[in-house]
Formats: sequence, structure tokens, C-alpha cells
Amino acid sequence: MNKTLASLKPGESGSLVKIEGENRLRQRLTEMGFIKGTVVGVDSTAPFGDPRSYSIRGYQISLRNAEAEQIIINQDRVMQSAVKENVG
Amino acid sequence: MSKQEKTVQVALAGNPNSGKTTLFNHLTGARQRVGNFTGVTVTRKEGVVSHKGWKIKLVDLPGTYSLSSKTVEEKVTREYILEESPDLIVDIVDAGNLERNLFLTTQLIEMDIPRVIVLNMIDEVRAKGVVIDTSNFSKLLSSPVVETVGRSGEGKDKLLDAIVEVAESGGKARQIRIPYDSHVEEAIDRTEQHIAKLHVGKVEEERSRWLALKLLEGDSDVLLQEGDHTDLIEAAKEEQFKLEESHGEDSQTLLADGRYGFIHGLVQEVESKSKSVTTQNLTRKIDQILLNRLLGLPLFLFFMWLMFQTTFTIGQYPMDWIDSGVSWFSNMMSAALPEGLVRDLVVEGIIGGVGGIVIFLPNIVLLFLFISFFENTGYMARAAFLMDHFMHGIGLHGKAFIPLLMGFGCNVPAIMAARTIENPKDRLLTILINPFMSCSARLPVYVLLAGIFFSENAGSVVFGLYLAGIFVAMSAAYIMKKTMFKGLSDPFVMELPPYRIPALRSVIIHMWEKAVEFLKKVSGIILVGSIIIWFLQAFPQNIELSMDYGAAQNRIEQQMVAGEEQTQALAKLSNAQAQEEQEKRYLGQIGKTIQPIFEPLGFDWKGSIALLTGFVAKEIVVSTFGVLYNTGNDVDEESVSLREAMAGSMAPEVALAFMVFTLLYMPCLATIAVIRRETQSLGWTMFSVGMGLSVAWILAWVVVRVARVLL
Repeated sequence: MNKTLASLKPGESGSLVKIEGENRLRQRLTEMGFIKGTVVGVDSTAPFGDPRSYSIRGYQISLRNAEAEQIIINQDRVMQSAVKENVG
Repeated sequence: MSKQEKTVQVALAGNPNSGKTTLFNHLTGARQRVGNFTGVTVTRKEGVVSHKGWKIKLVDLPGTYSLSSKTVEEKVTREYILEESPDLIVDIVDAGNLERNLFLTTQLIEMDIPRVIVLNMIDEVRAKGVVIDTSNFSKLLSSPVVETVGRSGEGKDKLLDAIVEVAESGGKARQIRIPYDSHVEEAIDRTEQHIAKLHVGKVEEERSRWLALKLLEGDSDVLLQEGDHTDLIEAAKEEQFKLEESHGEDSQTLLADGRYGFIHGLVQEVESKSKSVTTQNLTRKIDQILLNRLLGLPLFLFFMWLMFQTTFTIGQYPMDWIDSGVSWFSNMMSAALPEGLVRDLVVEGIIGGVGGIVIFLPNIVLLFLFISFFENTGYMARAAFLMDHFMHGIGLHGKAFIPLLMGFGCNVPAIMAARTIENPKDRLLTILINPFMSCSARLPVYVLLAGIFFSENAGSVVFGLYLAGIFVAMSAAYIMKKTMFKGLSDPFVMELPPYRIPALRSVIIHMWEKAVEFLKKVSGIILVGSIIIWFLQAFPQNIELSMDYGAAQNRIEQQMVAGEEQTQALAKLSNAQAQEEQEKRYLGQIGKTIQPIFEPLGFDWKGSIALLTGFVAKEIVVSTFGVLYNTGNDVDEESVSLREAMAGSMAPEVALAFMVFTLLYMPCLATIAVIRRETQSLGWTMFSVGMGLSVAWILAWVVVRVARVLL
């Protein structure tokens, strides 16, 4: 099922489906490795619940919730890719 | 060293946090030239190293994730590469974060510049039990790959060897192509054919592929550059549209897909886990405490408190040494020079003026020691993360918190630190509100006045002033963001780098640079300012006094019995004389002329003059009071004689208004100079001055009214 990255709880992760919204954000994120199929996980939350930090491709990045809402992820697919990585 | 050394121009490129600057410092040592890239306020560092008969000229490019020219840093990097065409690029890659770091590498490959790839911080990778096959890596990317540890300098010589090797080969290496999806490749082909027709024989094969890619990405700079070739642009737009239509994604995403696909394959091939090490992720553990939802903010505030506390307590010792050094020098010059104008100029004008400001050097150096420590450990990004919600509320980026915080030390470096903010509007806004943050030069004024007029609650008054400054800065930001600076702010996409132990060398070099920057400011603008102020208070020399003070002095000496009473009378007399002289000199005349403006605030002409002189540097307000209340200008905020002289000269509410005015009115000369340099706009500089003066006047007026009722 598709969800926004903002709706994930700390500790959860999902695989990226697409980035909606304005071009600038999408381009920036794409360059930083937010590509279809990449696994993104939620790390920590700032004191007022916004922004939050995420891990992707082995590094950490912080995004405001308004931005994380533009990022669509899928939690079912992450299971599969995790299985695949274990096998590989 | 041979006289005819061969020269090679080398640029260091890499992601932020890839340890690029640390490595640069290791290569060049302290022999660096720091400047700016033309037209923009991005620091440009250069250095020269000699190695194996080659003179290697290094430029440290700003840290970027990409070359798409969306941020100032990216634009600068790309323009440097395209226009100054370095002989080769050293691409510094964080070995522990290969995938994202190699994105920039793919762009460099596409620009087809001879390169050396550096796998930096290789020690961290080894500790995780990961092995990188560098020879295979080198083969796949057709460029030398060197492993280094920036902190210790390990691998430095191998890097220099590799640079020389590429330089000697003339940079000819097998070309690498990043393969894209077949539709994209077809579109590239067609666009390249179009380019070949336009620039017959002029564009090399790889440059033409790069140009085609940039056209398909809709890169605004390249579109502009090719603006004359309307049909090429039309054709490229058509291709871009078709691609986006058939794939349901924009072309930039499609190309990034291709690049990351290439990277993924590459990493799979070169990286392997040698042994299974259960890596305990230290960064994650530290973050559990430092970014804890309950503890994070209090800890951050504690660190900030610690920073200021240490800066000012430890800084006191070197400040005292400088102080006695300046007095010693001043006395020596007094003795050496014959009495007269030249001596006054040197001792009172130059040594007094500059010496009073050099004294802040220890504070500045210590403040930057902390800032540099926070930056190099990776905590700075966390601070922005913790403060972003709050800063976003007033329309600013989390990163703006740091320059604002530094404003408590000195607005000059603080405004320069605003360079970390990418969006030009956000940066400008951060610069404009910075002078409202109460810098350390204002503290002596508060200590003096609060000590005299609010001795019971001096601490609270000073603290209140700091809060008032923050409040005004925040409100100003909020209002400007809602009115003049409408529009989108930067997306808050910020990397949280892993915690690292900073390299001592980098921290020291950073401190050294800031100290030099500060001393340059002192030797330039402050020196000139001090001389002007001295001139205004020493001239005109021949003034007509209301009475013959010399005769009066003689009378007292003859008529009164020598003793305490006589001494007091003499002191009173010379005080009156000095005051009258001050009143009649140029500075006094100006003070009297502008005094009506300050009338509603209750400031007398002495206060007006003090504020005028404070324009050079705010702490001068204290020494001006010293002169005007004739306790000599060799006073500080703790001076008992000045305190006694000033007590009763102002009503407490006026003193409070005076402090508020000092807090908010126009930035000092050096700050104005740095605003001018950083905004590159005289208009915004004038705006900043005007805003400060009007806000200060209005709020001081309010304070004087309200306090009159309450006190």
C-alpha cells in the first residue's frame, strides 16, 4: 500500500515510489539518491515533531514533514527488497 | 626545485562532509590564500604544493552534491570547471558513503575532465570490515583511485603521486560513458547530431554528449548559452517532452535513475565485506541522546551556554594580557614622543582606539573554536535540525540559527557565516536581522549603565536586553518574510553527517583565518574610524572658553590652604574646563546639533555624542563617556570614577532607553562594511542602517514612556 513518508513512524521504512510536488524539491532529492525503489527509513524526530531525520543509502538526511508528505513510499515492497538483499 | 617547474592546476571537488577541506589543509598546510569567487560570496581557498618537479596549484571548490547549478555553490563549481578549465580534478569521495558521493563523480565523468578519485576516510570503512577493490575501481572509472585518511594525512603522498601521474600523461584516459535507458540514449543521439551540425568540428565527442544531456535535462544555464540556436533548443525540448511523456517521469529523474544505476553496479563490483564485524552504529547511539525529543533541546541550549561562558571566562585572561600590553605600549609611546598633536593622535587616537578593539580578539578566537568544533564534529547540522521548527515559524531556515547565535559574539563573522544558507533570499534576511543580536561589543555599555542605574538587578537587565534583541530580530524576520521576502524558501534537505572527531589541524587553521579576518577589520576600518573620531574631539584647537581657567586655578592655589579641599576644588575646575572644551570641539558641536533628535528619548548631548562614536564600534560608547564625564578615556565599564561621575546624570528610565538604543541602532562600521560585501548591494546596506535606526528610536521611545510609569 502506498503511503507518504511523513506517515511512517520512527523505526519503520519503505521503498520509494515517487516524489510529488514542485520540481525543485524533486530534483534535489533525486540527486541525493531518492530514486524509485530506494529504501528510506525513519530515524529521529525533532522536539516539536518536525523536521524528522531519515536514513537512505547509508546516510542520514533531515526533511520537514511538509516535504516528507510529497514522498510516496511503499511498505510492502521493502520486505521483498530486504529479503532479496539477504539472499544476495 | 628546478627553476622551470612544470605547473598543473588542480581543483578539489566533492560532497559537503566528504572531508575535502581537511584534506586540502593537509596538502597545503598554512600556505593558503583565502578569497572569494568572483561576484559571489563563496570562499575560495588556494594553495601551492611542489611534488616531483611539479608545481601543483590547488583550489578548494565549495562542497556540492551535484553540478546542476541550482545553488550558489553548484553554480560556482560548474562555472569554475567550465571557464577556468583546471588541468585535473581531484574528486573527494567519502568512502563510507559511496553511492551518494559518486553521483557528483558521474557528473564529472560526463564533463570529461581528467580526474583523480580519492576514497577519503577509508579508516572508517576498514573499521566496518568493508574492503574496496581500488584497482578494479580505478579500471572501471578510468582514473587513478587513491585511499586517504584526511584526519591523519595518510595517503597524502600517494595522492600527490597520482596527480603528477595524470599531469604527466597529459590527462588522456579512456572515456567512460554512463549508460542510460535505451529511449534516453536515442534522444541523446539525435540531440548530439543536431549539435554536430551547429558546431561543426568544434565540440569534442564527450563535450557534445554532456551538452546533449544538459539540454535534455532542461538545464537553464546551458539553454541560455545555446540561446541563439533556437531550433536546437526546440528539438531538445521536443525530445525531453517525448521522454517525459512515455516514461511518466521528468527527464532529470530519468537521468538520475541512469546515474544511480551505474553507481549501484559499480559499488556492487568494488565493495565487499571481508569479515563480519558487528558494527555498532555510534552515530545512531549519540543521536539517541543528542536528538532525543526531551533532552535534545536542553542539551543544545546547555552547549550554547557553555560556549559563551567559556568564551568569556577563559577569554578574560588573554584580554587582560592584551590590555596591559596596550597600556605598556601606550605609556612607552607617550614617553617617547614629544608632547603635542602627534603624540595625542598616536596615543589617544590610534593606540586607544585600536587597542580597545583588539582586546576582543580572544573572544572571537574562542567563539570560533567552538563553532569550528561543532561544525567538524557534525553537531552543527543537528543544531539546525533541532531549531528548524522554531526558525521555520519565523520564516527562516534551521541553518539561520547558527549565524544568529554567532551574532552574540560579533556580527561580522556571523554575517559571513550566513553563507551556509543556500537560498539567496533567506541568506539576505538572515544578514539583515543579524545586527539585532547583541554582540559582545555592546556588553560593556550594558555593564556600565546597568551597573550604575540598576545595580540591584544588573544581571536581569542585561539578560533582558539580550532577549529583547532576539525578540526584535525574530519579529523583523517574520514581518519581512510576510512582506518583502514572500515566496518559497529552500526545501529543508539537509544531511546529518556521522559524528567524527575533528582534525586538530583544521580547527586551528579555521581559528587562525578568523583571527586574521578580525585583525584585518581592525587595521583597516577601525583604524580610520578611530582617527576620525579623535580628530573630531581634538579640533578645532583654538576655542574660546567662557572663563580663564588658568587664572582661576592660580586663584585657588593661592587663596586656599593646601589640602583635600583644595585638591577637590582643583579637580572640579579642570573637570569643568575639559567639559567645556569637549562641548566646543567638532564632536560636541555635532552632538549638540543632533541632540534634538534624541530629545524625546531623554538623551543629552553627551549621550548623543557617545552614540555617534559608537558607530565606529559600539564599545567606544564607554570610552566616549569616559572622555565626556572627564574621568579620562582610560576607563572601562568597571571603572569606579566613571560610575560615580555618571550616577545622577541620567534618569534610570533614560539609561534603560539608552541601552535599548545601543542594542538596536545601526550596526557598527565593520558590520556595515561586511553587510555591503556579503549582500553586494549598497541599497540593502542602507536599508539595514535605516531599519536599525528607526527600530531603535521607536523602541527606546516606548521604553522611556513605559519605564517612567513603572520605575
